[in-house]
Amino acid sequence: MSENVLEIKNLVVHYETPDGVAEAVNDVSFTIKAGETLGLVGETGAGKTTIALTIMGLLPKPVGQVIQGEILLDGENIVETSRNKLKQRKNDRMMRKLRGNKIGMIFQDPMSALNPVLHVGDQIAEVIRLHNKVSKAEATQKAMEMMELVGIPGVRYSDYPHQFSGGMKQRIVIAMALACNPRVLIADEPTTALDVTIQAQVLELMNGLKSKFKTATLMITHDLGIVAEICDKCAVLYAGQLVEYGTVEHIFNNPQHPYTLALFASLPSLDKDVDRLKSISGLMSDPMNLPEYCTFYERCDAGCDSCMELDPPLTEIEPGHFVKCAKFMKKTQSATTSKGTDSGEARV
Amino acid sequence: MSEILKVTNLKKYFPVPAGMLHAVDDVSFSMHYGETLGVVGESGCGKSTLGKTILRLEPPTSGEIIFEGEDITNIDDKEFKALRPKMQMIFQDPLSSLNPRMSVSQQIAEPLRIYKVYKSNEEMEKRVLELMDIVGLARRYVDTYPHELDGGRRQRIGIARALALRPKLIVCDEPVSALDVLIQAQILNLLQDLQKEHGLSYMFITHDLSVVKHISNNICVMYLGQIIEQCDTKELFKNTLHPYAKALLSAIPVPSLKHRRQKILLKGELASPINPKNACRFAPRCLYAKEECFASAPELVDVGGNHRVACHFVKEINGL
Repeated sequence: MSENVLEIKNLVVHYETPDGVAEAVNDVSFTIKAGETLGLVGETGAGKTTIALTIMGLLPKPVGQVIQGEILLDGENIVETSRNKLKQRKNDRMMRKLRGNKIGMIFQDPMSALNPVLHVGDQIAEVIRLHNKVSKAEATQKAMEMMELVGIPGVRYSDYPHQFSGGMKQRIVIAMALACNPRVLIADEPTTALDVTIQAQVLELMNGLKSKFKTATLMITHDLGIVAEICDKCAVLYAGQLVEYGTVEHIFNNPQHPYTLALFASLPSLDKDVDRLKSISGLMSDPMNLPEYCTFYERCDAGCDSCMELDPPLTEIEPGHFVKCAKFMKKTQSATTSKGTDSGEARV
Repeated sequence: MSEILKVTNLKKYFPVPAGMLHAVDDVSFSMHYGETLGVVGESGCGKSTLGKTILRLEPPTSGEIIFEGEDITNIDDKEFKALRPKMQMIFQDPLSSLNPRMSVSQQIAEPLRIYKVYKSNEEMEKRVLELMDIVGLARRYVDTYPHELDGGRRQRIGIARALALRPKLIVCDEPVSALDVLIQAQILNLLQDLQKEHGLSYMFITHDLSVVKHISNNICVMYLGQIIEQCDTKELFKNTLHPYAKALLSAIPVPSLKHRRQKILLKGELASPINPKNACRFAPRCLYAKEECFASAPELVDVGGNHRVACHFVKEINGL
């Protein structure tokens, strides 16, 4: 339980487009242990999906490029930062063996994640046959077991995706992602396309499977409610950087970064009556043109002049709780854990 | 005449190969001036069809729609054109509801041009800039195109366009569900400010109960084309009576750790709205369903204090 299954160290990912370089992910580090769920929260364009695609080795090539950093799966590095074609091809071959096997992924839209002209059961069996030496009959048997596990009768093995409702399609996708008993499961907004009552069913299912499979789960979402419900840890992403990272207790009971506070304040609450929601003006910095100082400065209420002078590092303010804000720098100068985004910007 | 809209026994059926799809089935409610009516339900419950039918974007199958004391259920095109400025709509996805080849000013000016509100272009441009100020769009965006703007700003164009003809009723069909939470808060605040300043009435269609609680005075909860619970917002959240509304409320993930509440998990999913039987439509998923629920459809009845619920056993379930 104490081993880190997935460990991301100082990951920097750029998209190199004809119009310039978009710094999508800047120096992100986090770890997930077996059976643990990390919620990755952030608004559109913050880099959540880029992180997921990097772990899966599915960055669009050659535009997407890992500039630096390591992704350790059970202690073994799985990203290739070199631009050498041979090395990249070797990495691709390795990733092909890992994807669907040790790393499973649940996509946001179950309709487009399933092949409309294949039986759903065969789609699950395909994953099993690719990664295990089993006969066709054994794979079919295992696929039916997986379907039963996610609450779909095995007799529907030969049905097509269009014969299922949204919630059931998402269950099939979950069965597919878990078919090879992966070490890491990446769920990219798995319930965004579903209704609340169906979402509750799917979250309940994922919670149950988590304890059964002991998978390390990376839950990408924009809904803090879902994080509170099923995650153990939470990382808040802003403009490609982690601005706050800690256990859910840290983030929900003691949020410290101005952006996290703004996220909470902007949510309409079911318990309290507020006349007006709090919001912050402005937009997230353009990843093509990130400032050299704190990326949140322009929208920050608490910002002072010194914020314009430096990019604050992610600082540990209590054991396991990291905040990237200048207001914590003076107190714990020695406990800095990261060195900002210098290396990324030097290239531009 | 305090009622802006009164809908009685409204039905909208669509003929499909398998039979009749009952999208909106026997819905009655009324709205007052300056009020926000929230319509909540899951996808496929008929909430968008209800909004479109009220605006006469879809002709109703039967029933009666009375807008400002005038029956608009079966008016002809000419009368309809005179009516349209008073009732407008804001759509869910601002990108697909805006014309990609029109600049911001053209989008906002289009209704003004169609209704020939202003004689000169200068006057019209002045009004467009005024509308942009009202919805908080910086004037420098006047010549930009929708694809150059972010979701929040696009939605502001949609709102400015809806406001252009000074409507009285705006149907907002999931106006914030495509937006990030910070932008969502901005747009909700804007809608509330506009309501105060211009005395607008909103019909606010959404699947998000926390949004609807924030913005509405009254709420209708819909299930498979029917209203199953209807009352004012405070009452609904304090005293939820219908088993479906209870489950819906408990299913919302709450962003707080103190709140890991006991959930009511519903089995199964929405039944088919095609040729429904004469029975309670929620019965197959209901925890309390008895024989009677499968034998006859419950009526929407007032259980006291203008709180209307459609359930045979509402008293037994809630110990009233």
